[in-house]
Order: sequence, then C-alpha cells, then structure tokens
Amino acid sequence: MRTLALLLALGGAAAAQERQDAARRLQKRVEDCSRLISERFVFFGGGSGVLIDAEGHCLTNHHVAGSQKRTKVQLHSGKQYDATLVCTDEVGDLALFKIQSADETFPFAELGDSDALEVGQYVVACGNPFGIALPAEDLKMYPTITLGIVSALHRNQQNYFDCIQTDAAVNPGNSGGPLVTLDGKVVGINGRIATRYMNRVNSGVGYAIPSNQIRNFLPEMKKGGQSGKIHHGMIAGLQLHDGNTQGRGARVTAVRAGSTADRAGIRREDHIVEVNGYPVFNRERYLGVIGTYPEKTEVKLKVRRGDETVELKAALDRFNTLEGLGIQMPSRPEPARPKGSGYLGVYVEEEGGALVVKDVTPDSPADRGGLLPGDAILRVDNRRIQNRLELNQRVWQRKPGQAVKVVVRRDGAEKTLDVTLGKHPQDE
Amino acid sequence: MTRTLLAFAASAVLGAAPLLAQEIGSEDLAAGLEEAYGKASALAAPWVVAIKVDREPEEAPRPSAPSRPGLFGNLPRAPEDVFARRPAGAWCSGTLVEADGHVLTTYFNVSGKLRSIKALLPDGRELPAKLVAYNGTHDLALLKVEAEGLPVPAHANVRDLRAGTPVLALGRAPDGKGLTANPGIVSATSRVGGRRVQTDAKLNFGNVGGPLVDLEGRLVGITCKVDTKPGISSTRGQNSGVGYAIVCDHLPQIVKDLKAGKNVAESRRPMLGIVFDQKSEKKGVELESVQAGGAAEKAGIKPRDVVVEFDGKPITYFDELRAAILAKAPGDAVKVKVLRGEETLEFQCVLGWDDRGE
Amino acid sequence: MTAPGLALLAFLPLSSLLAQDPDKAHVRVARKVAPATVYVEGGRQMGSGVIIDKTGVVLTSTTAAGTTGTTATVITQGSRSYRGRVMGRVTGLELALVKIDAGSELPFVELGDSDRARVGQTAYVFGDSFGSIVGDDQPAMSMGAVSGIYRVEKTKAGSAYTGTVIETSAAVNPNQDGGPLVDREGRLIGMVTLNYDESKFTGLAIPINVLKPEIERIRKDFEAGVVSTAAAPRPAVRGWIGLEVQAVEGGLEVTRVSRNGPAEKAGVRKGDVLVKADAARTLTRAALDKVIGAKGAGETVALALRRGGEPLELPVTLARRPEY
Repeated sequence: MRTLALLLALGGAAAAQERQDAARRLQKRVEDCSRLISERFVFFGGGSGVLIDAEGHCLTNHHVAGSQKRTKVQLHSGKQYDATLVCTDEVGDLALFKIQSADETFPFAELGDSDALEVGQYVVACGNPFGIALPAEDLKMYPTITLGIVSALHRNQQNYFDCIQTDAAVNPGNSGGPLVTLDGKVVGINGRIATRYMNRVNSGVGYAIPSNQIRNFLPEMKKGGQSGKIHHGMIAGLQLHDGNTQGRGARVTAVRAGSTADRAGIRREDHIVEVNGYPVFNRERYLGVIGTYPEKTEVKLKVRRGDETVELKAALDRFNTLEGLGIQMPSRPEPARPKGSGYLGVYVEEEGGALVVKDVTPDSPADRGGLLPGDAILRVDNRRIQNRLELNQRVWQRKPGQAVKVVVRRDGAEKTLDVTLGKHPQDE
Repeated sequence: MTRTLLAFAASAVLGAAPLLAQEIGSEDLAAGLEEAYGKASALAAPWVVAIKVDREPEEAPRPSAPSRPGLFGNLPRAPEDVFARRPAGAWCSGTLVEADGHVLTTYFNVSGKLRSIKALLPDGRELPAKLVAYNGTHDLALLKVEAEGLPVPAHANVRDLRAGTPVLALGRAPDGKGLTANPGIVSATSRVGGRRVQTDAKLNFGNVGGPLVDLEGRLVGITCKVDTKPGISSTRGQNSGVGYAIVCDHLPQIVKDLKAGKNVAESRRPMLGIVFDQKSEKKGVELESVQAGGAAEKAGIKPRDVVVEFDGKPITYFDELRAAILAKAPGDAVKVKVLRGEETLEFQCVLGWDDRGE
Repeated sequence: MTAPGLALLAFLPLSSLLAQDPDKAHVRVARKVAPATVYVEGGRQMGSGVIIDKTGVVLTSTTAAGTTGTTATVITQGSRSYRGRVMGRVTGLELALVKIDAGSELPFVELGDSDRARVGQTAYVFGDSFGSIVGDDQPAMSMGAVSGIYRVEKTKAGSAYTGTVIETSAAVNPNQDGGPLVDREGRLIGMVTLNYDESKFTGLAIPINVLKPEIERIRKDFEAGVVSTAAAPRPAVRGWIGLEVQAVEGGLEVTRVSRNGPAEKAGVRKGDVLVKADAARTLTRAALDKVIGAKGAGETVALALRRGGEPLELPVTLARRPEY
C-alpha cells in the first residue's frame, strides 16, 4: 500500500515533468523547423517563395510573379539573384522560377504528403507579410514565421481546387510562401486568405495549394510546359448538381453529346463517387480532385448508377474557366430521351465530319438490322444525319416496332439497311 | 500465481502502451502548454496594469464598405469600428517598469487631446497617472503613478529567442480587472534595426502597451504598433498575427530618454516619390513613374530615368535604393544621379514624408 | 512489491520512451469534436451548431437557426442534410435547440464546466468557416487559448447577448456563431457568439454554464410537447407574490393576502385593487402572472393600487414560494 502511494506520488511528479517536456519538445521542434524553412525561403518582390531543389528551382504563386519572364529575388543569406520563369500555372496560381547562378547549390525544402495531413496538426507558415523584412544586423533576410494548425482539408475555393485551410497567420505578402509541417516539409503554398472584416488582414483563415497537386504539375512545369504555361484539366461536357446530395456523390444532371464526358460513358443521373481513388461526395469535391491534375491526365472514375458501381476512364481536356469551375452549363446539353421511344442500339462518335458507328450492342435492333462497327451513318429515313443529336432525334421520334431505313457508307460504298426499332432498355 | 499476474499485467501495459502513449502524449502537450501559460501569466500579472484615458472626442470612424454579394449570400458589412481609432473610455494596458511607479504603455493609447489618465494596479489601487513623455517612433509612452515598492519584470535573455519560441501577450480585460493572455510564437527575432521582436500572438487595442513574456514569465518586450488610420486602408489593424514588441534590452535607454521629458513625434519615413519598373533589365533602378508633387518630380526626374547613384552610393537594384532612402530623414537634401538615354544627369532632391503609415 | 505496483512502475518510463512528436497533439480533439459540429440554417440566418446528445439534440444560436419558425436545416458530417425541429429558444441568450432524427446514434460532445475556465487554458473553435461544412463537409477547426473572461455590456454584429463572455484567441469567423468552444478534452465550455468587444475584436463565446439551465428546461419542455421562444431565461427560483385576486372593473381586487408573504410585508391589503404591475396594466390574472413569472425570488415588482379610491404605489420584493 505504501509502495503504491509512493509510486503514485512519483507518478504525479513524473506526469508533471512529462507535460513540461512535451511543451519543451514542441518548442524545439517549432524552432528547428523555423530555422530550416527560413534558410530555404525566397523573397520575391511583393511576395514569397521557396527553393525546391539544389539547382535553384523555386515555387511561388502566379499572382506574385508569374507574369514576369525575369525577376529579382533575395535569399535568407541576403544575396540577390536573377530568377527566370520556367513555367506558370495561371489557373492553379502556381509559378516555377529558376534562380540563375554559375555553379551554386542551394538548400531546398522537400515536398511533403498533403494527403497525410490531419485536421488539428501543427503547421508553420513562412512568408513576408506586409513586406516588413529588411536586412538584419547580420545582413541576412529573415522571413516571418507563424504557427497554427490545419483547420480543414480539401477545401474547394474556385481555382484553389483542393486547398488546405490553416489558422496560422497569413497576410498579404505571404503569398507564394511555404506551409510546412513541423518536419520542415512543404505541404502547401500559401496564396489566399478569407477575412472576417474584409479588410485584407488575417482573421485566421488562410488557403494553401496542396503539395500533392504541385507534384502532379511539377514534372511538366520543369520542362517548361507549353511555351512557359501549363494547363489544368477537366472533363468537358459535364454538368453537375449544385447542391446537397446527402453525401451520395456528384450527381450528373447533363452530359453534352459527343463530349469527353459522353465518350467516357458518364450518363445523366450517375453519381460520381470516386476519382483516382479519392472519395467524392458532391460537386465541389469532384471539381476539387479534378482540379489537381493537368490536362491530358488519365483519370479513373467510379460512378453509382442505380445499384451498380461502374468504373470509367477519361483523359482530361484543357480547362476552361466556365466549365472547369462548374459555372456554366455545357452549351448543348443532351435533350432528354422521351420514355417509350424507339431504340437502335449503336454507340457512335463524330469523326472527320461523319457519324461513325464504334460499337453495336449485341442482339439490338441495329445488330439484327445488320449495322457494323465502322459504318458511317449518312441518312435515316431520307433525312441527313450529321451528328449524334440528329440521330437521336430521328430514332426517338419513332416508336418500338417501327421500321426505319438507314443508309450507311461501308468500305467506300453506300448501303441501305432496314432496321426495326426496339424498346429502349431503360424502359424495360 | 504472482508471476503470472505480473506477466499478464506487464503484457497488458506493453500492449496498451503505444495507444496510451499517443493519448498521453497529446494530453501532455495541451496540459503542458496550459500549465506553462498559467505559470507565466501568474508570474507576470503583478506588473500588468490597466489604463483608462479620458480624451476629447476623436474624429468619427470611416464608414464601412457597402455589403456586397459573396458566395453564400451577402457578405457581412465590415463594422464601422474596424476602422475606428480606438473605443472611447475603454481600459487598455500598460506595464510597470520601475518600482517607483513608472509605467510604459503605447503612445497610441495616450495620444490625442487628453483630459486625464488613470491606472488600475493589480493590487486594486486606482491612481491618477501623469504622462511624462512619449516617443512616436517606438510607439511608447511613459506614465507615472504615485506609488513605491511596486513589482517590476525580470528581462528575458534576448539572445535565447528564436523564431518559433513560444511567447504570451498579456494585458488587462475591458473591465480593467481580469488578465488577458494571447499565446503565440516569436515570428522574427529582430525587426526595425533590432529594436523590435515580431510575434504572431494576437495584439489589439486592448493589450498593446502590455508585456510580451516568455514561458518563464520574463519580459521579452512591450507590445506596440496596432493602429488603423481612417481614410487609409489598414495594413495591420487588430489581431492580424503580425505584431511587434519593443525589445526589453532597449527599454532602459528609452525610459531614461523619456524621463528627461523629451517628446518624439510619430515617425514618418522619408519618401522619394517613385515607382520602379519591376520588369526592367537595366542596371540601376528604372522608374515606371514619378509621383506628382513628390521629391523626384519636383527635382526634375522623369519616368524611364534609371537611378544609378543616390546620396553618393552606387545603385544597381531597388533594395539598394530603398535602403539608401531609409537611411535618410524627411527633409534631407540628396544628390540623385540618373541615366536618361545616353546622358547621365544629376538632380538635387529634398525628400518628402511617407504618410501612408507603416 | 505488488503486481499492480510493478506494472505501474513499468508503465511510467514506457510512456516517455514512446512519447510521440507533438505534431499531431491536437488531432485527438479534432476527431472528437468535428464529427459533432454542424451547419445550421433557419429563418434567413445561418451559422454553426454542435450535437450535444446522441439522439440528435443540436445546440445552436438564434443567429444561426433564426428567432422565428418551427424548423431549421442542419447539415451533419457526410453532407447529410436534415430538416430539424426547433425545440425551443431563449433569444436573450442567443440559445436555440434543434432536434434532428437521424435514425441512428450521432456523435456528440459533452457539456463542460465553464466556471472552471481559466485564462491561458487551451481552447478550440469548430464551425462552418466560409462555407466549409456546406460546400466541403469540413467543420473547420482553430486553436488558441481562453484569452480573457469578462463582461460585455453592448451588443454588436447582430448579437443579442450581454453578460459574461469567454474570450478566445482561436480564430472565429462569420458563420461560426452557434458553434462550439471546447477545452483540451473536447468538452463544451461555450457557444460562439457574433458579439465582440470593440477594443479587442477577438472571438467571444457565451459560457456553457449560463446556457445549461435553459438547455435542461427546453429539453424537458420539448419532451412534454412544449416548444417556446422566450426572450430571457426563466429565473432560477421563481418569484412568489402571495396574493389572490379576482377581476373587477378596472383591475384586480385582492381577495386574500398570504400571511407573512411578500405582498403582506409590502403593505398590500385585502380590498386593494391592483391597477398596474411594473407599468403593465393588470386587468386579468394572466396579465399579473406574466409580469411575476418573469421575475425571480428577490426581485421587485412595482404595484400600482387603488385603496378607497386613492392611488397607492407599493414595491413588493418577491420571495421563494413556500413549500408546504
């Protein structure tokens, strides 16, 4: 009993020591991290940046310096350098510069894993808010260090598609600077704030571009992109429900005929639930994940269609603002098929000005009528067919059981086929 | 039996330990920080005073921007008091610096047309306070209350400070009584020629003039420079996370100078009145424009001139020019050499005031 | 040495050996509180709230759920949107409780003890920060300390509460009103309010202890089928006047005065006609009850009477209802 009491007393003292040690450990970690990141910090005119390799590549925001081909930067050492623009991402607000130097190697920060972040985790922001940094007595330039936590993840703020929200103080001048975890790895580039009194002074909400998005763009950016620019990707021709879907996914409300979305097999009333392994619960999250990839990236999608989960693929188109931010409907939304309409059973694509059959559904009216992949559909019931919309119109105007004459070009010659339309599978 | 029990207990503990360690680790940290803040606050509280200033009514605050549509309906209108100079009749903060009743606070707290000042000491005494002198450059003011044997702070060792060192900004609550404590870190150890330490602890009208302390409860500096001037968009304002404190090492000399009764006006930076072309490739500072009525324009300097020498110092890039300008004072006469086309021209400029605020 | 003793001994150095880096020290609280944090919208207001009971009782602010109406929209973790039923409100405390029926148990936070709050204590704020819950299913978290405890006497930014507040250095932004302020254990110590002290502009929260009695009352009333919107909290101990009256021409005639009761002590007599109580005309018993009902024991009500045709004014200090 006495032993136990003694042990408890020792335990109490030990616990107090534990707590003090924990606070001290935090202090040391923050101080070490601050020193580390300061040495890798880059002062841009009006903003911030960070060195990411020994050759002198550094990142900043596009809105800080991306419209300049060349600019002057300053490092922690106090030395000034010329830096040339390698590539800029206007939409994603990221710019890659290279410091020009004869044969100097630079200390650099590693990119961390932004997907491994957790809400509540400590982060440090390094920047030059209000441009207050001036050479100190040792002639070095010291950036501003602020400490906070990850407030929220995967925030979709228009062109900050998948940003990290932090309460570490971030102000005008911090833009382009690194957001690091306490191990000194860059998990984000700070670039935007939301302010309580709309007076451009921090009120605890800073948004940072996540490192995993940067990783998707960096290889192409280092090569210079296309004439110094790199473009974001999107799946063109997709309209999504703008509202709550009870977490069921991003609900597709329209698919433009012939678009990438259409060709990928996405259909109206599909719920997109996953993109490249990232769960998607609404339109914002869909736009957020897609926004982290450059154009031409192949993405894997999972959609819920009724009770089924369907896996689809698409190569991203070049981003355009209206569609990419989900602002505007695709210009020609697919009209709804009237229930009880006729059905053909072909999959077509517009190719070289013609409507080419790519696939014929087995046992469908088209199959039984003799249509083959490779046929170019020219006329249906003597009306010229120039695109998928017109084909749909012709077929949907008829009812199941009605016969239509389909003229196709096959192997250079025209052929007429009699096809009896059937009932659309969705009407069964 | 005992041995089995022991083995069982040991393995149970070992098995649970990783889970417990993380739980305990995180509890430890939050608890450890709380204890540290509590300890530091308790040590410092005896020398944190509340100050109330009675002054002539000040100019009305600038009206707020009209409410505008945002993504989630109309964004809240910025309240008018965001741009206010300071609330009338509110208690603000000060720091006891000498046992005989000398108190430091910010110049901002005691500027304007004063009628009276009073101080509420932590021991409960409410005493009239006299303004001895102020220094607008440091944003500090020295007050005197009639008392003796008052507790004063121990100074922190400034050389031990690093970016990332935890600090606490203390002050008095709006009722003048309770203590307020805002935790943060040192954001930079040396700003404004080493006079100030920078912190991300929230500084506002209520707590500036109070002490910034370390976790041992020692004085790191006196917090200062939180202001919004009407008519000019605020560069900082309250709680921005960019805050300053006058470093403790400089306080004895500042107090000595203030005791001599010498007031120093609010500092203004010298201004040449130019906008430089960031994209220029030329050696020197190519000017995009010159400010109408500014020192450069009045002297005859024109846009597209390239500044190559300032006050005898050769200039190759903008930071050099900026540092050279800041080394002068408003009203100084300076020789400026520029390249205009093929010619080198010399101008005599009389530097103006930068009244944009810091 | 006993077995438990040895186990304890083994335990102590192990915890320091296995002590983690402090990087994720606050994630524990996030895991507890974020799932219980909700977005609330009602009557053209919006803001945040927190689930305080696994059956789906949501604590929120009238500046989030609105001051009128019987329903409010609540969005929980997973983007689930519910049409909640308002259980009750006390507008002077900015308090509203909303009931959602999720069909399964919901994560919730425990109520803490705000009387034990101390300046310097770690504190966290959760809520919908610039649409983080509505758009991104993310109850944003900010960290700071209890930076002050004091009284605010003015209402600002559309708030209605005055009184003792807990000030926090944790970031508070629009739409977080109604959201939780929690301690390091994730227990609720306050509800975020829009109010701010103009000398400070930091986040404020109404202490949970101020809200607790009304939370209890609203929950009990709701179970009994009563939903009300009160302007002010019901006093803890209701005042008792000690009078029986009957309606007559122009007022209430006192038919009986309780012996040693407040009215008798104030000098009220049988036969007096009550014309006004606290400037409210008392033509019915209900009218008198309305005035008394809002007051607590120890509070005063000013009675205007007629005695023998002459006007008379008597202040009555209400007492605690005697238990028989």
